[in-house]
Amino acid sequence: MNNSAEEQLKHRLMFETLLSEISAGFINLPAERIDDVILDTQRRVCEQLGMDFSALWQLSLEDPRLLCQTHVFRPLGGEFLPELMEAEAHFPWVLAQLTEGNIVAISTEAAPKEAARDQEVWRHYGVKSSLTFPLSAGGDGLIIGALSFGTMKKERAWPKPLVKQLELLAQVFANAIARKRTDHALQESETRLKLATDAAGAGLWIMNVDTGNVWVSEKIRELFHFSPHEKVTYERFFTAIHPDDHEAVQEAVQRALESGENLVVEYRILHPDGSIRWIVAHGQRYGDAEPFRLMGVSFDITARMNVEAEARKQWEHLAHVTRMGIMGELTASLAHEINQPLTAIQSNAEAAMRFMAAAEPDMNEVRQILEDIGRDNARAGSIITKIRALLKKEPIPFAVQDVNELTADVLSLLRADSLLRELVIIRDFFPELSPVFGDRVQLQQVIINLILNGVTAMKQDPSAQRKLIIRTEMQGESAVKVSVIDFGSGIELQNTQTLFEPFYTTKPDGMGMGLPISQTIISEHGGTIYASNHPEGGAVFSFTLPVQQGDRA
Amino acid sequence: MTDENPIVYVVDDDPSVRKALERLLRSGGYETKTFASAPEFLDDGPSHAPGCLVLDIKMPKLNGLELQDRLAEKEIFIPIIFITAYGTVPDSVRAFKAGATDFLEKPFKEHELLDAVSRGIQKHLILMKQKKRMKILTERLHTLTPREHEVLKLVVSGMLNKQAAWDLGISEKTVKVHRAKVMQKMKADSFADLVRIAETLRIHFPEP
Repeated sequence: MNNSAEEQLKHRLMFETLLSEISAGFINLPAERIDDVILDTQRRVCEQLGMDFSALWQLSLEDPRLLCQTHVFRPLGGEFLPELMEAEAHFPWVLAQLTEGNIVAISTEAAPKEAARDQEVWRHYGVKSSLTFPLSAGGDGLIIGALSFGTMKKERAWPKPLVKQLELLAQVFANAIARKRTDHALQESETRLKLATDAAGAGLWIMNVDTGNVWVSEKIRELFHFSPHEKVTYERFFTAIHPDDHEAVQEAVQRALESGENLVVEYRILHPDGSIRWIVAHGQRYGDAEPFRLMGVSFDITARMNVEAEARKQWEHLAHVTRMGIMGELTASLAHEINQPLTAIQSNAEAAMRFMAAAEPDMNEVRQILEDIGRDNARAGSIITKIRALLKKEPIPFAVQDVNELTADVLSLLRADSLLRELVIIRDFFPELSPVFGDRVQLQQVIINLILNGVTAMKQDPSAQRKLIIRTEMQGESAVKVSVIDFGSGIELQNTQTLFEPFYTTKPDGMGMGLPISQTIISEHGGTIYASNHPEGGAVFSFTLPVQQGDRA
Repeated sequence: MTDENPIVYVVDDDPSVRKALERLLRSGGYETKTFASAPEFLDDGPSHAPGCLVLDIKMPKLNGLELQDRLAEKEIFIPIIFITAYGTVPDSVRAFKAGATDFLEKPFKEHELLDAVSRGIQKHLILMKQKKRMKILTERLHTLTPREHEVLKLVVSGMLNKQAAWDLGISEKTVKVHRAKVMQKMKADSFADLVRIAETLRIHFPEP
């Protein structure tokens, strides 16, 4: 007896050692090894305690009525409980107990009356006694499965200390399974994201801001020419990015991290063979506090950029000329050239008057001054004559023009212009527009002027909708009408004529030349240009052009 | 303060403007020196007479704003009146930030230049006066012994004689003696005057 008690104590101690060993083994166990370790634990426990089986069941995620046997140790072989089992149908009483949070420790033949169905199933599968624990994790008490041990050869008792010990094991299993599920869910959402981004031709990246390590999808490795298993860091990205773009990228990332604003940055990558690809990266900081992570997608936009660059090159000149260029420079140099002699004239005249007021005026000096005034006046005059010659119109050969097409060209040109980026441009083109007769570049210049006017008007009014409508239509049968409709604060109606006078401007940095030039061009084309307001607020600038007569082409 | 007559320097590359400005200034009673370029002006160097500089912005080689920088480097603080035939806002901002007195757009209205010149010269006179006073005070400061210098620093910072004595590890009586000596050497009429002098000189105080 004494001997046996000693034996029991020894067993118990051995089992306790095993349990603590097992518990420790689950800490930091990688998710993918959890299944193997659970199975191994079931084997070791059964062997040590002389039990015939251990089965772990999980509530199916697809159908919560079903229990799924995921881990089983059963050296005896033969028929056993089915892998997928409807818990309610097979073990209604046990299920109810488990749901209550109770442990079921029972001999089949000693089962209570309410457990008749459960008893039947146990008998069917030859289970003599069984111990079943509910598995729950996360503190909400919700059951995620069950763990059972049992005997088939003979009955056995379930002493309290043993139940307590195994309950601990059940908790360890429950936590491990819950962890694995979370991990799995995360992986699944990542996989979905990857599928979506791959389909869009985008590469996915996640940066740990603290370590600078970056997880990247295959697509990113492909885009940036990173090798398949190479460790990628923030610095490593910069070895691929074009040196001229380093600063811009760094700034954008910094801003996104500091402010939480979306990251949007376009930059170039320089491949070892010297080729250049354009990339756009969209990203966002996430995490509630530091250390943040920055997650985003990157696309190759080289093809788009090439098209844009081509269009830009083609039209850059035109846009530049209209926006600031020649008129601005002309005005500056004109002002300088003319103001010089005017200053001299003014100062000379002033000085002459003062000299004349003296008691004994030096008439010789005054005569010299008057001569100089005459000379400076001639100088100013000759400057104006020179400018006139410069601006003298050359006859421009007119040709048949499709207004829709030349307007569309302007829009694709301006698409790349930063001014229009935050803007919705609505094309309202009348498809059966008659052709007109005119100069393509000049007409486009007028359209650009009107669009930029509209954009500037809306820029000045922060509350304005960022929307611009470009409309083409027929005016009767004899004229084509083009309108640019903005949603700025509109124009003062008494200004509608002044608008077209040179040097009239409402813009802080305007030259006041856009509309007069447009008017000159349109009237040379035999059309008219005018401005009005529309009921939704904002201005409409329209011009008409006579339809081309058949015999003029 | 100075017996010298004020001189107005004109730097403009346009000969007819230069000539006209010289006449206008002369008609206003100013002695004038004209230069066709900024380097010419730098070579000649402004004298120590009070005056001001009428400076065109747009000039080949060294422009007006650059000349302003050069003068600042050389610590020549002559008031500058900029004149320009085509003024831009950034230019005027830059000029004023660097201490310009006036910024006139050509062609300027009657009296504008003469008024600006008069203000510039006044400014220069005040500046010169301040500089001279500073020089005198600095010279007086240098006559103090190191200990007197320490006493000055402590008492003008608001310390009582007793505290200063404790701080310096000397007797209060000695502090009083030093203090009287300091007042005398700095030619301060009163203690308040001494504090004002110290305030004027504060940049010359070595940090402890």
